[in-house]
Amino acid sequence: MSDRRRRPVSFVEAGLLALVGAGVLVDARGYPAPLIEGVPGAAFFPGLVAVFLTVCAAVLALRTEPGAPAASGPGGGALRLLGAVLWIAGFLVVLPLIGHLAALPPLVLGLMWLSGERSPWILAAVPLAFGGFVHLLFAVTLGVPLP
Amino acid sequence: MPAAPKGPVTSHRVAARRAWASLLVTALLSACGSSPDEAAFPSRPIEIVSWATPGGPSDLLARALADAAPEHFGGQRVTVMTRQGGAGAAGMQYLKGRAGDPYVLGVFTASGTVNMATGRIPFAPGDFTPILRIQIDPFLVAVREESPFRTLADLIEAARARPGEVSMSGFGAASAHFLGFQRLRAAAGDPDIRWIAYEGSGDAVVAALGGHTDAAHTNYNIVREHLRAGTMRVLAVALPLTALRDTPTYLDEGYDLTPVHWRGVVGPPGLSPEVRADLRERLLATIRTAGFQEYMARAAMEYAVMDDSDAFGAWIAEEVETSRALLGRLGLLMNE
Amino acid sequence: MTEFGQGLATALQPANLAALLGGSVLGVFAGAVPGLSSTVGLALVLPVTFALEPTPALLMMISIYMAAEYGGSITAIAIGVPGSSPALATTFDGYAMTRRGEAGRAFGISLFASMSGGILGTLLLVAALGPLSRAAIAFGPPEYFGLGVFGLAIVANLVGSDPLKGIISALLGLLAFIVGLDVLTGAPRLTLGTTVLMDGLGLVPMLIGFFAIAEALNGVAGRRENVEGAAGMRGALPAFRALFRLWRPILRGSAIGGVIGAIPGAGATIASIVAWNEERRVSRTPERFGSGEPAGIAAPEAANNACVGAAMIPLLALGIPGSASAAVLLGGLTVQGVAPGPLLMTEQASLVYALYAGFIVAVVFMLGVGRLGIPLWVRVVSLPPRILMPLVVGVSLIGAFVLRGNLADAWFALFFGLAGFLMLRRGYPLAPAVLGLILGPMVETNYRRALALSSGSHTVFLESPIALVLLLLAAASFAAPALRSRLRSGRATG
Repeated sequence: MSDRRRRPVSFVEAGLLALVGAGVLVDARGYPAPLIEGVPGAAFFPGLVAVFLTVCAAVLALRTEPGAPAASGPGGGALRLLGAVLWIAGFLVVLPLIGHLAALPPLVLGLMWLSGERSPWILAAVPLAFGGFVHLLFAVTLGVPLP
Repeated sequence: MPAAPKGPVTSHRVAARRAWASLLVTALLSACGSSPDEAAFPSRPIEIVSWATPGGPSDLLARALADAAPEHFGGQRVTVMTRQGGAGAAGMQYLKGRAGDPYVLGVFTASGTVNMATGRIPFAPGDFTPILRIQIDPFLVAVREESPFRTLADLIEAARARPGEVSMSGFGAASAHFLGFQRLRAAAGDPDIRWIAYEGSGDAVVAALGGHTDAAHTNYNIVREHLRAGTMRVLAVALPLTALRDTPTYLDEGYDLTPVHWRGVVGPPGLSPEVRADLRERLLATIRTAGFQEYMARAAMEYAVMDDSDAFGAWIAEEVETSRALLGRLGLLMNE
Repeated sequence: MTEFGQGLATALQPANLAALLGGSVLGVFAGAVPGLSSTVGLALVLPVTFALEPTPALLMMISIYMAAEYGGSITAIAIGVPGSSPALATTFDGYAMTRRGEAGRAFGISLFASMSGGILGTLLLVAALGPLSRAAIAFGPPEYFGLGVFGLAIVANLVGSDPLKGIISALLGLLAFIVGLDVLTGAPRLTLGTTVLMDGLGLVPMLIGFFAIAEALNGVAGRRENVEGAAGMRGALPAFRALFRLWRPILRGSAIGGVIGAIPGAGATIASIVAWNEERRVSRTPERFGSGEPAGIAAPEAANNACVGAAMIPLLALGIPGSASAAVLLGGLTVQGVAPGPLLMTEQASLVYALYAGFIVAVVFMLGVGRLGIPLWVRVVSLPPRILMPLVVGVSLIGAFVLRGNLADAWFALFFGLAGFLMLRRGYPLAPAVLGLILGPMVETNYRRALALSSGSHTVFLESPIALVLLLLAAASFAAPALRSRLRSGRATG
């Protein structure tokens, strides 16, 4: 990412924040009215935060400074990132179906691979040992019922 | 099988899978065992689902049951399964998903019926099999020792004379405590007493103790030590308690109502009458053990057993209806 | 004094010693594993205590409570993930020190400060049970509001180089707290019509997401700051002389922990952040805070352990649990037939003194277990992040599940992980968001509660001296960074 693209990204960011603020304001319209006159109700605080957030978003979009020193990542990073998020999500989906003993080693293996670990020995041994360790610690020692 | 899940993303599937797994296990066990019928119940550990705050009265009840139950459940291990979240929905979903499985029980309380009544959680009394009620925990109104109020009538008179200036702290909004208070207020002709909701019953009592609110709407176990020490007084209690023999009841004060908190045990949906009767007998034996009786005394709870499961089911349904009517009157239903 | 001697004799009986030792080991572990905390640790042993006599049962529970508050700092220092929420402030300087390759030094400071804080908190409990419990109940809605605003003002010192983004981060944290049922009306807010969001997103999923998962994602995306590898990591513990030189931050941290810990509902997380901030405020080199300042570890760690003794004050004297951990402890006491309250001290004095002595012994065990553990932690830190972080993610997700037995919390952690990663990448600091989530409830509910009690009159906040002082301090704290930079530019050089 070059400096040239930084401005539009700031705009997108500000737009997203403003959208969150607007969403909160819409949601807050459905909250019950204050029970006592003159006393703030359930909608007061969310409204306040949402307005502040929108104001901050406007300042963010309008200001001229280059914003944060957001360094750029390598091109392959985004794909690996997406892979990692989906891998964790997949783990959470299958965890209740196949149990922690079967689900944890693949999770750890995948994340280690994505983080750049390539040694086959480590990739094989660490996840298995880890799964056993978690099982011993939580399920056996502490008696926590895990999926 | 239960209806489609709306709430927790996965717990329904877990539960369904568990139900299948348990069926499978049961099938395997009965295939291997000498007696193919369910004569072998219980043949594996029992779970008691608790969706209450750890260490709180409902959670303690679950744990006391789990502690006392094994000798009446064939020596099987009985574990408390914590499933918190979603105002009880996570635990209820778990229980409901184990339809027909007698190896899982749940501690069900007045809070559950109120949450059903508000429409917060997508469950109805019919989603569970009522087994028995164990405790009734009457609400009471307590003030700190320095309070000018000597009787409940004093407090209500003051609220009539100075509308909005008398405050009552209690647990939660649209909660069982809140509705208990509203029933009392309605019976007194709706004086303007301000309900100040707190995160827990203990916090509400501290507020009254510190003089931040005029009175606390709570239960006996929370104020017991303060009563003994004389730092707090009870103005009136909903039902007579042996420990509060000299305290006027709501009825003594002229209000014919008995708002109470209560706790009991329910099973998953779809238990046959025979299985239910068997569970009820075992639980009845459990709550008569010395260990459980000791817990009841220490937790400042009194037995109010309702061992007719059908009557208990009717009681739950009636509680939901009463709560719903009251919430409707107060404009607090979430029917969208 | 003789009562205390008898209490000590009780605590030193073999069965009680065993309970204290077991509790200490379990507590350090529960504190160190992200997701588990003193509350979870206590809840896990609650069934075990059913089978024990009252004294060992209670000693086991208090040693878990004490050790867990120290245990949280291990993960905070080792990998920058608070093992439990009171260790949040320890990540600021503790992890920075580890990144400089001085993990051993940071572990040593944290352990020494935790021990000192634990002892000082216990002494406070012994000396001031009655007066402090009366002070605690004087804290009403206006005072809580003041404390909450005072805490939020700390954001001013956490915003980093870009104040606007720091403020946005805090606002996002405040929005995250709003998710769930409103305490005062019971209305669901920002729950998107689901039940799964009704009890809120939760602090623990946020901490796991922000600090463990976001960091792992950073590694995956190839943008991790380099941590010194095995060769560069020094396990050397600091010399005792160096530790004793930290007596001022430790004393200040313990005092802050002692006061805030005694207020029901405030808790160790707030106390440790306040302690860190105050230490930064009084320091002559505030700019060094956040980059591995020893006082920035000592003060919050002393504070969160001092909170353990202090949290017992409302519990023992009033029978009121001031924190989630104290609530579990109260459950344990109830089951054992111990009824805390105004009469406990007169009726069960021997048990109370055994408890006091137990706290001291628990601190000693915590010190021993902690000291034995340090070489192990240093080795763990020496693992390359590409191996360590996936393991941390695995344990954290399991921990998030154990917390409430609800897999939704692990999903929330993943959500916060992605959000935290994106925020970090765009230059938003994460700590303000955490502060917003922690303090939002205290600020909002007590503001509304105070006004409900005063029928909408704002003068309640001015009539309470405590609230007024806290609000003025908050204003000063917000203004201070701006003033300081003004002053600095006025002078020739800083």
